[in-house]
Amino acid sequence: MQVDRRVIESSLLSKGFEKQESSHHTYFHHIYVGKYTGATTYTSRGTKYKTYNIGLLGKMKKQLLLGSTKDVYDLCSCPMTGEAYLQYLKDNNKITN
Amino acid sequence: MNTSIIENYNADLADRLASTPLHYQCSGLSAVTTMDNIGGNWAYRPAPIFTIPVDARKLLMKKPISVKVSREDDLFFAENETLRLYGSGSTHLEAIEDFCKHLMYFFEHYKNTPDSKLMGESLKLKELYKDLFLEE
Repeated sequence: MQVDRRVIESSLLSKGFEKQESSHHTYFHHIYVGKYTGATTYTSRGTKYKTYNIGLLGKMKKQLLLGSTKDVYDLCSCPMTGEAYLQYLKDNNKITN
Repeated sequence: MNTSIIENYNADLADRLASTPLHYQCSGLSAVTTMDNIGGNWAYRPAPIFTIPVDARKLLMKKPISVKVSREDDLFFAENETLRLYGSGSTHLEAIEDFCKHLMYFFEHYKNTPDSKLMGESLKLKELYKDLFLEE
């Protein structure tokens, strides 16, 4: 189970995440109705991070408020849509007004 | 079968049992692990971080942050689950340094983001980051 970093970044951007760049990392903040939901993750630019394997995807699990590494893989490699992710957050009470 | 083998075995067993302490207990040492080059994945006990270097200064934590350092395959990780942060690198020091960079990024992010732009889990995280540092 692994995903190319560029695929992760483009997937997140298409699913309600906003990108913020820093010197060594790119941060992705999930936004809903103009507010940050707290689902936030980041990618690194080094050569070791061209591909994210199961270990790295697993670290993103809690950051993305997901229950399993498989869910992270699905979100980052397209099987899970932005709407499905949003519904997941609502169903698990991660989004409250 | 030569019955003397059995008799010798029983005698050896009785001898060893006689030298075993009556109230033997496990010493309480942590589990034996393999060497790094055999079992590559391991974890240190959580270590506290007291200061964060930022440019030419050091920011002192009001309370030390516990960081779990581990190794998975060829990467080291430094993690704090409460803050939902992890740093990574080729060495454990690089991983901790990376962790500190993320910590500073999110500290600034939540400091500069008003509550009106936050919801749910982000409000909880802002509360965690709010009083993290004393400046030296």
